[in-house]
Amino acid sequence: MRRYATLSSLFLLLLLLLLPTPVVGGGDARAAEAGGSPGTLFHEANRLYLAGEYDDAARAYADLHESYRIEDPVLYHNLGNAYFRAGAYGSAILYYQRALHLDPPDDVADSLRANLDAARRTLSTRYRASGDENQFIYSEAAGFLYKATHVLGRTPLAVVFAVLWVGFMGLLILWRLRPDLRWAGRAAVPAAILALLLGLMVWGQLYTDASQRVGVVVTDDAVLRDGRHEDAKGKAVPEGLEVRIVEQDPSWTKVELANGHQGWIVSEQVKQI
Amino acid sequence: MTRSLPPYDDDDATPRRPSGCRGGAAARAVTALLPLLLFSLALALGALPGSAARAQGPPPSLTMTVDKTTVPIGEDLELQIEIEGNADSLEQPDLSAFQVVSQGTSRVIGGRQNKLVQTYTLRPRKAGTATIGGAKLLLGGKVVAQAQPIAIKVAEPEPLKPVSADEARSLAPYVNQGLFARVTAPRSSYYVGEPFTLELDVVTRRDTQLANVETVTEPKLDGLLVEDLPGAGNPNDAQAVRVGDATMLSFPVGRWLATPLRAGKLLIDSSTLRVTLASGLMQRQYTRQTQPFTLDVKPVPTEGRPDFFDEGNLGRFELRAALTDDRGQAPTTLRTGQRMVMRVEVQGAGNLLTLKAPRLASAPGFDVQPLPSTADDVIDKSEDGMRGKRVFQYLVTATQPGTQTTPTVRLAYFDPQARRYETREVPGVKVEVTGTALGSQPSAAALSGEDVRPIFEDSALESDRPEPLAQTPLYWAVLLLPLAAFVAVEVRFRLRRRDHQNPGQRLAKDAYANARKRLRAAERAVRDDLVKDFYGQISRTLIGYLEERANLPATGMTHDELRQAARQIGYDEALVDGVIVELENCDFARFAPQGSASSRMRETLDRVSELLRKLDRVQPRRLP
Repeated sequence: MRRYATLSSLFLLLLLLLLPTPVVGGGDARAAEAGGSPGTLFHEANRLYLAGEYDDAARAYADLHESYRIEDPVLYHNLGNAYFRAGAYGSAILYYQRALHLDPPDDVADSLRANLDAARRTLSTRYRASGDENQFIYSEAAGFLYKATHVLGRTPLAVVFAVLWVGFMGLLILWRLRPDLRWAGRAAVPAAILALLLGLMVWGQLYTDASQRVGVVVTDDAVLRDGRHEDAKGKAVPEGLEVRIVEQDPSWTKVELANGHQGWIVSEQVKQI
Repeated sequence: MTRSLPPYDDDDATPRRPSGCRGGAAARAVTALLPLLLFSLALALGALPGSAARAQGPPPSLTMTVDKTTVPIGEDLELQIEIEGNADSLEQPDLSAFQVVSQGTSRVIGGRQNKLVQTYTLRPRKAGTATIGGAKLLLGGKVVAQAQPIAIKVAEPEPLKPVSADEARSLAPYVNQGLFARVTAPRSSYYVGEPFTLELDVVTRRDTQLANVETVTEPKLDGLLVEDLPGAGNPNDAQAVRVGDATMLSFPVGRWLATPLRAGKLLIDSSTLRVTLASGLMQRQYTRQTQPFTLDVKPVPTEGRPDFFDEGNLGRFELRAALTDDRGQAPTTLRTGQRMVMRVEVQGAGNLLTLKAPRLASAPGFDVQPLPSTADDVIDKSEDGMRGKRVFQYLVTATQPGTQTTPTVRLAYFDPQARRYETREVPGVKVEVTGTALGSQPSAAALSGEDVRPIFEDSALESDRPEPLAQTPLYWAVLLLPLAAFVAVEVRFRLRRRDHQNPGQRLAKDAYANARKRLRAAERAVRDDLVKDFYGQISRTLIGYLEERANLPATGMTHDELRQAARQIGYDEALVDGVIVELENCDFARFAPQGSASSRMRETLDRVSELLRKLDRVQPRRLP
């Protein structure tokens, strides 16, 4: 009887230890449901894409992203391609932009930019060809501060700033330890100016990344309304247009166009990059 | 002026200074001023008293002569001004109708003759009558001699009568000429759109050196699309040519790739060149015109023209085509809606610029849309014409299921050398298409001719993507490290500087700490029962403290002197008495240690410790 109690305790302990496993490994469970690891699912999505089944490929890539919380520029790139080939150009732009925000490697970034341009041109042609007065004209949704501070990528800027900062401090320390080395004091001045400039850029990046949320209109029937209800007066906005997100709730998203005009769009129709 | 190249028909030859005339602005200024300086010097010499003999010479005279009074536009003439006799200055002739190419001054002295000669090489600015103004010689403000203005008739060059291209290529008309220029084309007949080379050469005798060639008038080439070809103008590219019995050197001056734009007789008009030849130290300039000629430009014939021929396809080409899927492989099975890229390469010699994209024959099961051109085109232009390759791309989408044949690629071109049409074809291949039939409406991407680059088939798929570097605490912690190091160094630096500036203050501040250290040494002495050492430490503690705190020279003082000095710097009497008592106790105990028990030493230690605390609460006046 006592032995049974001991075994029961051990079993309970083991159960307690294993309890968090489904939570942590939920993705794996879903992977098992879906029939493989993320790598397997990725290759299956690629196969669908290469077989010309673009809608299915887009679903497979999107499942992979959502199930595993994968934020990978290559996955976004391929997902964007699948959307592009399936004719969902707004969603394609969304994922190309998301991928570019992840500081991808050069070859991926190069392809992303080319595909992004192709998607924008395609939308432009579509609206022009259909005689739709709602012309697609691409414009930067983010402001000058965003553009100015994102001239350099996030990682390169952080590294360059760190190197300059350490160099500047090193020069100051050297100058204090060896006051006779006047060149160290003189060299510290330009190093300080550069470090200050780059420091401001790092700050600008952090600030704009946190404060400026940019979204993309992902459907071709989105309407920018004056109020947050279906009866409010509105004007159609083209698919693929990039807008600045001012505020957002599950139903409606307040956005600002590049010309400063603000309005409300159904949240499902605009996705944050 | 000596003319040393008699074989040339040098009636228009213009002597030039070897190098100075072609120098920079400074050199030109010096050249312009030199004759005036020499002239002034000559006049000054003439005015010297010692020149009385000359003063009695012939009366002053001024003569202006030109080597020709009629000159074609673009050619130069020579003006000589001869001055004889005494004069103060020369009023220069008005030469505004001419460009002064060069000028020089020479002096002739012999017997009673004293002559100054100014020579100008002049180039008329425009056709018509150009006048060289009169010149005056002044002596004492009066005109003593003058020369009349000279009118020069400047004629447009005689238009040369165009000849055929074959005649223009012939060297026979140039026999016995020492220098000539000519433009040539390889053939006399071309088709519209057929590129060919035009070459402009200057041919000279072998014993002279071509110094410079200046184009006065470009040949008018109406009806031709002309592009410069590299490589012309290099004197090292000279080739020997046989002209009559003489071997001469032909210098390529210009090479162009010309393409006729319309049918008919096409005039390759005359070009005028100014050629500078060097022979020894002398340079001479000559003007030469090229012989105009006509080319026969024919339209591409209509007989035998294939239906799919496009205007502009002239040359000899080969065709290659490959249909690939997103993996870059030739597909055998497809799904409807699946896109492929047809890459077509046209390679060969001919007018690649006007070459039209090959046609894809209609294939019912496929939608075909052209894609924007790629950067893979390679077009080389040389004296041999134009050759290279053009790359065209098409987006091919399967629209119907079943066994389908991919589109056939066809190119028709006209071969100008063979004078007939040729066709090239890459036939389609059979593929199996699955899926449901698609509508005939092409997608927006197909409409715009846009497509995306291939997908990436391998990725590490980072699910736990790291935060951007600048958003990680470690990054900022690492950045704080050098700042902390700097702050530490700075603090140390400032403390050391303050100590350096105020060494006494530092000692005063440390006095109590040092005294405590000595007391600890005394405590150890108690433990070890070292009576003498203990009292010695106590004594050193008190004296050392006063010395460090107030800079009081206590070591050499008697107790009375110490008492007095301590009071003067601000210690109250009770404290000072306490110090003196302890010092006396120390003296007594050191010299009579037998009576000092451990308990007494501990009491002394406590007392002195308390005394030190009291002393340290006082802020004494520090002695200098």
